Amino acid sequence: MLFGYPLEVWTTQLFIGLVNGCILILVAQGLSIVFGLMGIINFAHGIFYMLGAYVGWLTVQLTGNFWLSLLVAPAVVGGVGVFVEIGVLRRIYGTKNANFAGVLVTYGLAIMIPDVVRMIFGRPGKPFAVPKLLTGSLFTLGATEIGGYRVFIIAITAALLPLLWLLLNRTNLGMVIRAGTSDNTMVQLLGINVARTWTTTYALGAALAAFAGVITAPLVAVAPEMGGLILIECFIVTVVGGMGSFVGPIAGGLLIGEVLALTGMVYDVFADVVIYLLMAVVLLVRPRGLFGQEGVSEE
Amino acid sequence: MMRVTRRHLLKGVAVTAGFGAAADFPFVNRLALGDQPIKLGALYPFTGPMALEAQEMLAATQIAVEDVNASGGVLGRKVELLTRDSEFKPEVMKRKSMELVEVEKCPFLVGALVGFEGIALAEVSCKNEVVVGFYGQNFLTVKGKMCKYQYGTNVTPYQTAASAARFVHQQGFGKKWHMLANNYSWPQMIERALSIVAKQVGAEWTGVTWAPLGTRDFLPFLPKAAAVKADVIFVVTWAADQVACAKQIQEFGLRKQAQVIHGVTELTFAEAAGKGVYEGTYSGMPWYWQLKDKYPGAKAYYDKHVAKRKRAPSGYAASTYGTVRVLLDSAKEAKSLDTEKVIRAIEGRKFQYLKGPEYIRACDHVNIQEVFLCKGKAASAMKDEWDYFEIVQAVGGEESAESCESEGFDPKKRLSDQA
Repeated sequence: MLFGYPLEVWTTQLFIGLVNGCILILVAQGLSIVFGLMGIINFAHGIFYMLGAYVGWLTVQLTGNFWLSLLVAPAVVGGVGVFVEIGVLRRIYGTKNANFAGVLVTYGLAIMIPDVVRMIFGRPGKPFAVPKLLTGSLFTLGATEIGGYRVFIIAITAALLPLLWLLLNRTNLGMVIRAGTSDNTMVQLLGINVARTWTTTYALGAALAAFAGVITAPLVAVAPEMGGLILIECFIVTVVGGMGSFVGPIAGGLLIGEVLALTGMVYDVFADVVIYLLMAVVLLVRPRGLFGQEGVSEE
Repeated sequence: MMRVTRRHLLKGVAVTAGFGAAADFPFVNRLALGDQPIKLGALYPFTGPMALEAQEMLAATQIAVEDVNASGGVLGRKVELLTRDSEFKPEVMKRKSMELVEVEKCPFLVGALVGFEGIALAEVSCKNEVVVGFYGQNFLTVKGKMCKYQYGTNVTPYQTAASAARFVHQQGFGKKWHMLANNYSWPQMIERALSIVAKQVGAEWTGVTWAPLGTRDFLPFLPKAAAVKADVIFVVTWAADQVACAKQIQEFGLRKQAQVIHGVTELTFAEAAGKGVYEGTYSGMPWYWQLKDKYPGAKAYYDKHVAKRKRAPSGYAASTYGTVRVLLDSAKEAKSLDTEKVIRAIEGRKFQYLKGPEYIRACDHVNIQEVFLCKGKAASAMKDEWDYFEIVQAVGGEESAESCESEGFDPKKRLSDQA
């Protein structure tokens, strides 16, 4: 027994925290990459997560194939990301107070697009079932039945992260993204088409968020406001983990996921403030975040 | 200085008496106002997370106004509906309701969906002495005082809790009760009511597992609730939180460990959660569309609503219909648009529109009404796209209402004489 709960209940909570952490990692990675390269605090990131869930739902409705939705949603929402970057964000680069303008523009999109979704899809939520292959419990942890779908989320995140690492560390695109994160001006001076890189990066961030949206959809309420809810947690994840680094969102996501799960059990009324306190402590002790690059988020 | 003669005095008395009499004679009003329609202001959050519910409420308001106009209107005048989008923001609610009162000269307002909207509307109601029909469940006070010009037809948190608790007791689901809820004022009021009823019926109250408002994943909170090993778990969540919670309760298998009761739910939530998600759980509902098979009024309303919205009406719609009809029918009975006369006609008013007999209790303006406990159906048992629940039991209004004394009101006095 620990704090009045048997160890098996603690194990269950740790597992639940791990699953939630995986979702946070996927969304926060995109947020971190976009901020690291483009310097944009992207308030529109949550809408890509929400759009991913909606595109996934639509794909399942049209084809009956959940697995296809895992490909279609990131592709479609990545396309939306391209449109947003070229059609909206590109107009503010290099302008006076571009960072502030970026916040305002993406915040405006975060307000506008959920209403557009409401106009198109009507209802406040869409039913999205767990795929048949993964329904039911896979094993029992303590008194808790662990569904196959939760295990799938951990597995798919574990598979995706190395691929993302390879993309960022072993490809030319990744090299440009990492170089741009360190010194954007120098990259431009080397004659690299930064505009295309920025578009690709923004689309990649959107696609990651959409992927997280579609894998989360069977577990939560698919609703236009779902993006706003996760965005706050993901901002905290990136601040705690550190902006612009690959490991930062992973560490931050796991930490926040576990803290939320364990606080929910030990002291539930504290659950909605504990992550803010954690962020405040990290900012006081290490302003760049646990794994943040020097200078990226300290300015 | 003008000298006041007996002739001046008589003229003054005659003019005052004339105006006073005119107010009580509809035909004089008609002549004076040139058959101008009576404006009813309606404010619903068409923008924001409750947009669908707002559309349901608008349809219900329109149908209620059409029904009243078809039966001759109010004081022989047609009722004209003016709608505004409250945008789910209290400051917008306040600004637009002020505009309806001061610019459009609406004698009555209806609207607001949640507590913070209702408080803004109550402030306008009190300040301008305008009768307000409020949809939400909470008692609304302005600076600590109850506003006597407001009333509601929805169930109060106490009614929600007590009806579910009495049902659980009657069904013999078990004596150990727990609650899983979002942490804000409405569930906190329900917690108080549940703990009171638990004591009354001899059940063990084990407290609450709280989750923050806006929780997208309740799974971190479910093992704690399950660890209590309660016989019954009351779930008090709303909108997207309830949809997520219902899905995760199903995933977690909580239904196998305890009888799950959703304090109150809506057809729209079950639709969003998906077929079969509420299977085996019970939910309190102030109205469910299957009542059309029992009450002719519900059938007539159902047909009009489906014709207008192409979907079965929600509980929001039904409560809104009652709110509007109570207001307009009371004005009809009072033969006046005067706030004091209309609110006194509302106090104690008995009516029956879409379900069994109801009345607005005079001492606190609470709608005493039956609440329906509904059982969620399996996906395979659904006969059509809206067939998510079956009504299992109706809990009578008197059984589930908190007494006026307990709320701090004198049960023998009207609220308008004591607020």
